[in-house]
Amino acid sequence: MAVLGYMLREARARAKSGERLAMATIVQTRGSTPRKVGARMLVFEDGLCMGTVGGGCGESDVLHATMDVIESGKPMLLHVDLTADEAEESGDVCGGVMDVFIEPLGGR
Amino acid sequence: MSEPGVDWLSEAVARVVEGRELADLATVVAAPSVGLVKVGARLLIRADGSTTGGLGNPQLDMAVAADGARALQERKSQVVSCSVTGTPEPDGGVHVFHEVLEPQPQLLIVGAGHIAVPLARFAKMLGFEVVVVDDRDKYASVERFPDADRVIAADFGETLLDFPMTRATYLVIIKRAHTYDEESLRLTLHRPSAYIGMIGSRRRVQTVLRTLAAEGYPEERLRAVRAPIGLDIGSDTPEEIALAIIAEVVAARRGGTGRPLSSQIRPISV
Repeated sequence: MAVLGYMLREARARAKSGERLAMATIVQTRGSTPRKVGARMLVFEDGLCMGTVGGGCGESDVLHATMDVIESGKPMLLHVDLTADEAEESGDVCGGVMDVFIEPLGGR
Repeated sequence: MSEPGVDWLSEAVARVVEGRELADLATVVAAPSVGLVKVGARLLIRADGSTTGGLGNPQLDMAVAADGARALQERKSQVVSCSVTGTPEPDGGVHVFHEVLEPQPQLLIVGAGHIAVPLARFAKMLGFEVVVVDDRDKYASVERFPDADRVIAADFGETLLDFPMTRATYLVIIKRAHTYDEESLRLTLHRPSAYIGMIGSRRRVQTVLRTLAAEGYPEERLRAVRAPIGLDIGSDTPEEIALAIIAEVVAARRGGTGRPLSSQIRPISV
């Protein structure tokens, strides 16, 4: 909870100065995933992040979707597949899937 | 209230963190595109049942608050699906993510001797709030415990009497003096805590526990005291003892058995 508190304080400060940002949170996982439910990532307008939802191509997908959310201002629930078919090329096979809730936090 | 902004969320979480209480943050992560219930709407459900925020429909709020109470009891974050009025419906249009917010664990170290120093450092690394108590100024000093959140040089009894123990408090009694250990337990056994551990030889520990049992302390609570404190890792040095203690504390926090992972898988014949 301390991490969430810290992240939200940062988000609040950024939003106050007019920045747009979004938060991605893992809400459900099935099988093996590098991070579990509750793991979070804050993504800022410039693409920089705070926190992680597991790295690898899973996180890359989340990052792209989050940049879209920053643009659109609309929250979304993203399904991320980390099973073999998807991850083979990059070599990080986790074997699981996860649902990530992405919501805009600033710029409103 | 729907779509509360980052200000509301930040405030709500900050208050929960200060209160050191378990709470459930319920967020609508999927909802029908038409209707009063919006994606991103939130309801904060506290351990005492009170709530702040709202999901756009009072019936839904009630159902989600009940789901939240259940999530808190199980201490398990989960997604629950229901209809817009809160009736249970696995394929219902509304999906709510219940996130159990755990308070920051607090390590209360009674006795600032050799073991306390590495113990405080380990605990800090592991995300604990660290409080150290000793009645000797030389031992309970900020110089020896630069990372501790609070260093209290004061009488043990008086300090423990006033100390706000919660269900997130992990109490470690490493004073190494028979009478203080007994007194420390007397003052804390009936208070909320996540863990109580006491250093000492098996014989001394037995003596203290028997004395307290004779005084009428409930056996159940006495049996829950981890004494001798720590996991068996063959510790020899103060650092190793501190490691054994913090490992036991983390195991208590995370529900681990403390046994080697390798002993828990069925062996493959080689």
